[in-house]
Amino acid sequence: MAGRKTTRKIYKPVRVDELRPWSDLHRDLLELIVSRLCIEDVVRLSFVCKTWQYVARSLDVINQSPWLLFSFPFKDGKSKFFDPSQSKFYFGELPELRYLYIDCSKDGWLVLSCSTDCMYLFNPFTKSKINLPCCRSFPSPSMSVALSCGATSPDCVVFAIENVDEFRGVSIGICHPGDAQWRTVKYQNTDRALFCCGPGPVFCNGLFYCLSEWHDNLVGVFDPQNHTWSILRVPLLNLPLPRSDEGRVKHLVECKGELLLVSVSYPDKPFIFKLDLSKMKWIEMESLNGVTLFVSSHSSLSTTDVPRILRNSVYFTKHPRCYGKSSYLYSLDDCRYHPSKQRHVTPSVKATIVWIEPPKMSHLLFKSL
Amino acid sequence: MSSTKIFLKSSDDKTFEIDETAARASETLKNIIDGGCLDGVIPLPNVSSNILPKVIEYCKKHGGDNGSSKKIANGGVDKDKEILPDYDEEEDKREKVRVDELKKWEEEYMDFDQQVLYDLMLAANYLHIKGLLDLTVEKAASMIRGRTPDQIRENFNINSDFTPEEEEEMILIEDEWDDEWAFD
Repeated sequence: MAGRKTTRKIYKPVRVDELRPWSDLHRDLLELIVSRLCIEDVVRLSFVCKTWQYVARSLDVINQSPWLLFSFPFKDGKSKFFDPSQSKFYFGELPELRYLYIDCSKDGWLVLSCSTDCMYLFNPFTKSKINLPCCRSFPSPSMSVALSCGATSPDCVVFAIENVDEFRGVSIGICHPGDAQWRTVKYQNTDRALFCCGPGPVFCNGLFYCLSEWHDNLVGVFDPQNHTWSILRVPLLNLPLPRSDEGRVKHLVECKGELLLVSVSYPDKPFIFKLDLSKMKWIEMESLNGVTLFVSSHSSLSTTDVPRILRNSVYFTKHPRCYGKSSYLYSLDDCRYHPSKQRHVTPSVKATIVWIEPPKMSHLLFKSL
Repeated sequence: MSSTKIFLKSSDDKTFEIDETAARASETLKNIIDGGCLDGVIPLPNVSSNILPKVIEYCKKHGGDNGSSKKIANGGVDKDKEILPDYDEEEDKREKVRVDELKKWEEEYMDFDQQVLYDLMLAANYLHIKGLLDLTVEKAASMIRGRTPDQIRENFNINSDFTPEEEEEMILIEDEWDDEWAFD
């Protein structure tokens, strides 16, 4: 057959008489088509009809946006979620959250605690609840908590840290789901490093990091494998004085295995730093290279390539004290704050607001408001 | 080259003839042939007589693929050749001609509307003809790329089943998106 010339054929048009039901196209075939499209095309495709939307949203190509969880622990057990990618609120009956504080969130799980020394891991999407060991003396309400990963993972570690002895030291506790008790250790501050736990903790590359409250030159690191606590000394950030009286709000965020520090003081621009462990210093980032950060006082996280989520930006929780009344995101591309167009009610102070990573298709679990 | 004839029966009971070598382009047919349960005619209850000739045409072009013609399907890239010391320039030219010719053939072959595309994609999937499935899936993807939801619906003759409220909400989101994305 090689090299032989074929004569040009005129093709007879093929006709089909019935209308083809493309909206019912077999799921496998639609997935094949979707796999050849870029993210923007997949998003547009999801608006064609309901079945296509279902398939497009359930595929891995569309990353799920984090949601904001508004919990009202002293109200009727009703909670709200806000999906910033769809500008939509969802409403959920979550009586499990009543009278409980949310300590942190990770991979869709929450760490909850109450004043009677009880702690739980709770997944508001699957409604799974796991009891954590109780202890009279530890943990206490003033502690900060972090979770290494979702509670169903065998690597799940709960980390809690608090100041003790009038800030002369810290007490650290860790436990795994199913443990009978916390494993706690106390560390006294040395004169050289007056560490007082502040922003964080956050889990990054197998270690829990916590920033010192007043001294951003001190970074506490706990290794949950070897149970070692060390304090890294880095040069001070020397940020300009903020225009606002409220001062700066700092957040630690894990991003692709690196530790970031976001320092916000509306209306000044937020400063973002990356901890360079080889040079032992904070390095300012002018760009997030397409990543989006979501920061809140109890959980901060990062994502890439989520449709309708602005790249290279920091999303806030709309807490008026820190971020201005209506701003809810800052874009590093145009260097300005952007207001939300959504009728986004300023949450009352009694609500706990955290970013949470919902599993895919979570919008089907709740009623949209 | 064997010239054993195979007979295929469409869903509407029409019989078509195809060379065994061509039929082997379809994994499904290949398995039936190799399974030895050939009973004269292979019934294809999922392929109509409108589409079957189109499928046979593709198989004729690609069936009986042996070493040399598979290279065409891979876009003419042949890694083995690069490491051969006596690199044949003439053969390379002929290869290029073959690829160009095949591309032209595919272009003409794929000139049909979405109604045929749908049936052909299903047939390629059912008969496990990977090359044809790739072609049809790519054509469908090309009818979506860069299009608005309205244009996609028009291309595929789909009616929106969203309620007017849902539609309105989506337009609002779209507008907000465009506004906020304008500086991107």
